[in-house]
Amino acid sequence: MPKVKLVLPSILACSGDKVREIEASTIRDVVEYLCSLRPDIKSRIISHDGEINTFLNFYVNGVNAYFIKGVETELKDGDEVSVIPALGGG
Amino acid sequence: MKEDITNPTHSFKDRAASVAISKALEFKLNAVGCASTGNLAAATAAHASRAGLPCYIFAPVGVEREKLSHALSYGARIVLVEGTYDEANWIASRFAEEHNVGIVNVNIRPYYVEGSKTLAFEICEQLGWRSPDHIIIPMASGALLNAIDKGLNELKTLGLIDGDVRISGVQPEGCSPIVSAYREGREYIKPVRDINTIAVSLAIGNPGDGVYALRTIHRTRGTAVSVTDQEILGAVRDLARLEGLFIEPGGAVTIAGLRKMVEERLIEKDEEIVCLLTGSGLKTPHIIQHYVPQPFIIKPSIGELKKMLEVEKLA
Repeated sequence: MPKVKLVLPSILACSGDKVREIEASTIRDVVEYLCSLRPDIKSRIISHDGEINTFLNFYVNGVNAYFIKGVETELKDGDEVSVIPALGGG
Repeated sequence: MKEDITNPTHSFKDRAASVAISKALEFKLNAVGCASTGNLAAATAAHASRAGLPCYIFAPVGVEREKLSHALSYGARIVLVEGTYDEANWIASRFAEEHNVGIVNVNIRPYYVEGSKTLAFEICEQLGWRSPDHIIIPMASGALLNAIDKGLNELKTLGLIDGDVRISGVQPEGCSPIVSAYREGREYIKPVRDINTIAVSLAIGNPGDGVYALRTIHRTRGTAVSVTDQEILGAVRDLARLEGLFIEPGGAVTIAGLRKMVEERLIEKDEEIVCLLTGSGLKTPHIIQHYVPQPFIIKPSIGELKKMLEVEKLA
């Protein structure tokens, strides 16, 4: 599986590293990793139909995966995936 | 109409920025900033300057230049991101994570909302400590709508008001992910990327508080409508000509929305309704060209003035 750099917000990293390397071939793998990290908030990460909940955004090299192929977005070695909670108030 | 344009930087965002930046000082943060569609930039920059903190603004490249100049005048550093508001927000979030910086709409956001909710307090105070039947609110991220709801609930808990308030939201048609979800009966938001609206301050394609705004609208038996650019311009014009209020498109959407709700029979005849007008028209002076006639230019002569008056049939 490709090795990708995962950048987490403090709230998901808990007391661990905010930047870590994980193995993931799609965003779904990243989501599963997050769910294993924080099983208590799984329903906040994945919506009822299995898509990424829009509370969380997954940016692959700066592009929101929602606009690529959602959870099926493919990853390759060296990709940077950053997880950003949805925000607003402009 | 609750016009909220006489704050220090002429939009409701001063409420949010003042609380958030006071907390940034309390937390001893090195600097502050925000991701902005325009109005928050000026508010954050002004309050940062008063607090003596450096300020970093992240905005999409399409933001109105007048609003940028406004923020720049307070000494803020502005980073324009070649992309949407959501992409500027992504950059701001990463910046906040990596530095000891308080981004008012990211890591000190809970306090930001506490500032916004004071609009609800003021509406009730100005009505003589009672609530209206219905409040109509502009929606971008949906944060203000929820903040108003929070403020009303707090007043109710304290016994300062009673009665239920319907809360409705309005978005411009060219960026209306919350209204689309409401219309289609969805409980979740589908973010949009292709945004096209004259109400630039409402151009948020992935509204962070959208789901909560939907729930608030449903819970309070409110409604959600979208309005076209033409309808928004009509509201800007009517507010100026009928009420003497010069309001930016992002604020005037509530009046356009009210008109639509009346046409679609979504409100009762006897409802007491408050529409929020959240930003001054001076912030978007370029849009007036769409609806005002050109001024007369004459030589300094009474003859020319008379000629002009004849043309206008005023003589």
